[in-house]
Amino acid sequence: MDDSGIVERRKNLKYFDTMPVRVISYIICFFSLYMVMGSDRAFRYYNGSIGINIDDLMIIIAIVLGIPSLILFIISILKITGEENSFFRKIHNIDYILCIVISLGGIAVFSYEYLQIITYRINLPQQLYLIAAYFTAFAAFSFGMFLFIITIVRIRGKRLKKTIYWGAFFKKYPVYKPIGLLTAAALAGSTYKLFESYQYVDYGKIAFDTGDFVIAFICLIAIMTLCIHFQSLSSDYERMVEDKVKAEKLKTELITNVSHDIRTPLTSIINYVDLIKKLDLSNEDLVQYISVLERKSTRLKGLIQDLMDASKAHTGNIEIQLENIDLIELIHQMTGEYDEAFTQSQLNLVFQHTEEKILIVADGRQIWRVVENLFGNIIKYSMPDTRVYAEVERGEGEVRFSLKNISKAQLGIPAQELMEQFVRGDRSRNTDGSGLGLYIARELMERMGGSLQLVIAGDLFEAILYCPAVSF
Amino acid sequence: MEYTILICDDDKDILRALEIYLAGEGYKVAKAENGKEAIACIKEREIHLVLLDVMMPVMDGIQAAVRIREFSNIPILFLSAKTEDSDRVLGLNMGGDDYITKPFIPIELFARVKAALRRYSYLGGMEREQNESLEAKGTYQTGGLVLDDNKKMVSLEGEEVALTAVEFNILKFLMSHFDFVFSSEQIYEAVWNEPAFDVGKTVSVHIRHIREKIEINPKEPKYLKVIYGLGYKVVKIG
Repeated sequence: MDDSGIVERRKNLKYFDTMPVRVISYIICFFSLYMVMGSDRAFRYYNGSIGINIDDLMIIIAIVLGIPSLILFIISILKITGEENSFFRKIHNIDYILCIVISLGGIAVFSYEYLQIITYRINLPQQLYLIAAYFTAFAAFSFGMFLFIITIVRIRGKRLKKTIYWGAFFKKYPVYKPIGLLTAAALAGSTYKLFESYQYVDYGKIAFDTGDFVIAFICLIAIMTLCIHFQSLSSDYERMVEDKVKAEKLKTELITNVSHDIRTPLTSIINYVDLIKKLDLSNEDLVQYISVLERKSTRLKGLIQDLMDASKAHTGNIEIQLENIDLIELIHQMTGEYDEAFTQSQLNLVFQHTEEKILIVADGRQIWRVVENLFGNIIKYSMPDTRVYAEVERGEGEVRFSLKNISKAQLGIPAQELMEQFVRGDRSRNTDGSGLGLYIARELMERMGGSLQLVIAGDLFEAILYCPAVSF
Repeated sequence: MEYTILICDDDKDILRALEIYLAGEGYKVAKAENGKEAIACIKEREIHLVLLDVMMPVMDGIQAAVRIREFSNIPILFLSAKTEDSDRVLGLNMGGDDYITKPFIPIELFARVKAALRRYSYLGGMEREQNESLEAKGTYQTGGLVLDDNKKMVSLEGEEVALTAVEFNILKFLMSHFDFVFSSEQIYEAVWNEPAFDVGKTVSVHIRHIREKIEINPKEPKYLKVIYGLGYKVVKIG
């Protein structure tokens, strides 16, 4: 039983949560539970002729100890959401201990009583069995309480589902795998054995077949321990994943904050350069220098935005809302936007498509950005006075959009490297653009369930988008 | 009319640059370095517009905007280096009329300030009577954009915008169905009155021209929006 919730609150009582103590307490609980099933008969049978006074005294002590602690337990469960330092909260924090204490207390009380009984006319082997039997009677009570408490605690903390680890265990190691099969068989077998070991109490017989019971019990304990171990391993893994996600989030936050901190002084740089430009500058060199400052500071502005976009695309911090988009319409819209730019660069766009309407599954805004990036690249890097070919065709469950252009400068880089962060076709890193565009585009496509591929053949540059088609 | 603009930013250099810019455009300028000073200034003087930074000590821009809105309706333009969509939405929800990111382009800043002031005087505190005339038939209005089908005129905050016949018809079609998204084909059929065959980029080129004429920043349109992969629409504002 993984009682991690209770563990968290018992910082100074760590040593009680160690494996040996757990195992012992499990053993006690199991025996007790078992004995509850058979002890009543044994008790009644042998209760013949004990002196009433001491008997009553023992019973009274047991009641005085047992019932108030029971009540305190119940109250502490109900008061679990009270203030941090309240009396009940303190009780609740040591419930696990109280469980053991009561078990031991009960055992002490009843063993005393039985010492009385067994010194009377019963022989040794039966005495030992009786001790064992009663030994477990009160511990059974504790087990019942323990289970009851933990269940309530977990229900209130909404953790119950998580702590019933058998489901997760069998999800990880299903029955058709060796580990799962073995565990299931062992579990089923020992549970059966456990119930089988209970035998009807009869005069001279003991309440259970010790051998069977012990074997079954040990098997069960072993299995439960193993499973807890596996479960804690997997929860460690889950925690690791959680930490990684948190780290990524912090990284994005860091970049967002730094971006804000860079933009503020950059604003002043851009403003004052602009104001200087408006002054009466007679010195020609000055005019040139100012022009350089203006270009570079504008470039910085673009770089910061790119950096933020890339980081968001990489950590998956962009919200993707998938819907049905008409790719043909989108490309028409984009060509309209870039119409003037194409004319200025003396580029002629040829758009080939066999159907008037082709629907894809994508996030409108993001796919616009991807296509815009591709068109932007075409304007930047195409050789003037050439043709650009855009083609859309339907494939198997996907739509293929290809954009081909002739490159102005020589491309000395393989396609894959081009898409890695910060690489651009022009290795001297001189022209506009930070090189993040294709990287962001690829990340966005992947987040939408598609892909971006580049094919380079000499001066021919081709960008291919694969988008999931709308299925009917 | 001479407008007084309050600029509020904790960075003194930005304040000075803004002062020079705005004075150069003929505005009177008041300065404040945090939200608290801004509110005090608005209560003392007649301020027609506030340029408000977000990250400031003592009281930040968002809180200041909320307080200002308790007693005044003047245009609040946020000017912030926080550029995330969530920041923008927060600013506009908390009472801002516009959200400009830093670093900004001076020309764009002037245009937005001008537009905000005209909007305030046009539909805001000063000339509300004009509102009724807009209910007349054949006129379509969204925010500061008014299209008069009777006079075949389009105006933006009172100033006339020159559109070609085709552009006018496209805009009229979209404005007579506010918030409805129409594809290029649907727009073509409605405006050219021909079946849409091989429409291509015709419509989108016209749309772009319209956007450049009626939007302060065509890349961030306020009225004529592009719905990627689906079509275009004009949104109804106020």
